[in-house]
Amino acid sequence: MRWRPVAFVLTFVAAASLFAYGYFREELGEVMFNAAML
Amino acid sequence: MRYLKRRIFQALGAFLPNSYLQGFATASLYQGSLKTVCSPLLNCYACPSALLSCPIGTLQHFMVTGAFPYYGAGTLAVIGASVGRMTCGTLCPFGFLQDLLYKFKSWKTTIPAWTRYFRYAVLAGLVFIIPYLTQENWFSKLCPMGTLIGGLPWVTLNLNVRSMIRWLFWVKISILLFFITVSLSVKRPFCRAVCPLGAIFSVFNKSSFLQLAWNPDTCTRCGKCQKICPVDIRPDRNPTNPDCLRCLDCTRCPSLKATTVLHRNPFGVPAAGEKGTDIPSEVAAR
Repeated sequence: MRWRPVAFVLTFVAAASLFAYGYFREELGEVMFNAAML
Repeated sequence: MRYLKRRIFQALGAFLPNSYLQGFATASLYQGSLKTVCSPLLNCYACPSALLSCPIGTLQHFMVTGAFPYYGAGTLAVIGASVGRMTCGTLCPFGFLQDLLYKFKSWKTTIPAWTRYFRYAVLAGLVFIIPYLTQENWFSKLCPMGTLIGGLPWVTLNLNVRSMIRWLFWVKISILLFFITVSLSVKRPFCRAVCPLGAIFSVFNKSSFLQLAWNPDTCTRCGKCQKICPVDIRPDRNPTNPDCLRCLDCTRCPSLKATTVLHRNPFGVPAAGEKGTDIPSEVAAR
């Protein structure tokens, strides 16, 4: 299907944006804190 | 050979994220920088030897704090958009355990197809909504993988933890024993009906970069692909099935091949099903 490559590109860009936004919000510190609190 | 390769990957998927073995000797958790990485596997970060963070535990933690987990959700979405559910089929240690349990000679049966929708309810309820409302990580409290590699080792290693055992621990043990028992008779019951990580990855199967291609010209509809499928589906009827783990076991049949959204075989060999990643209408109508 022709829409599938377009769907992949849109999905991947959205996913990478989500990841980058979380990374630059310094959520890694919160992830580390959560792991240390176990 | 391909089947053996998957077993090797599954063994590595079970060992490498849990290779901080001194955690067992010192009864302590690894707290280095790798714990900032969400693993694409259902692997408990409370395990003494765990190096990476549990993605589901991370999502729940953010819901408990009332914040959206951009980093955790983004990590899973990038992996899902790239390979769909492939990490479930080739790396997940709990999937590996279920695959091995099903190898035992015992009475075999199937579970109804509608049970697949239960995993989306688990994802919405136990990972997002209930933790947000109760400020408790409810999926982690009940997770059988957490009980197996997190709860049981800690109860064995630490007397203080043992003294804290309450009714919830026995509920967790019952859930673990239930899935171990059912896995002897049903292919991957937890992955198909319950796993919230699988629920997240499965929504990407239709548009992920890695795809399964089916060639209707060579397929005889013999159904052997279902027999070797670890989740008991017919990949020839729907190569983009959300239940498909992308384990590629079915590609031992020449009518099924790994391909990409660009219709190129990721492993360098021309894909058999370049013209057939979608189901012809006469097959879909069956």
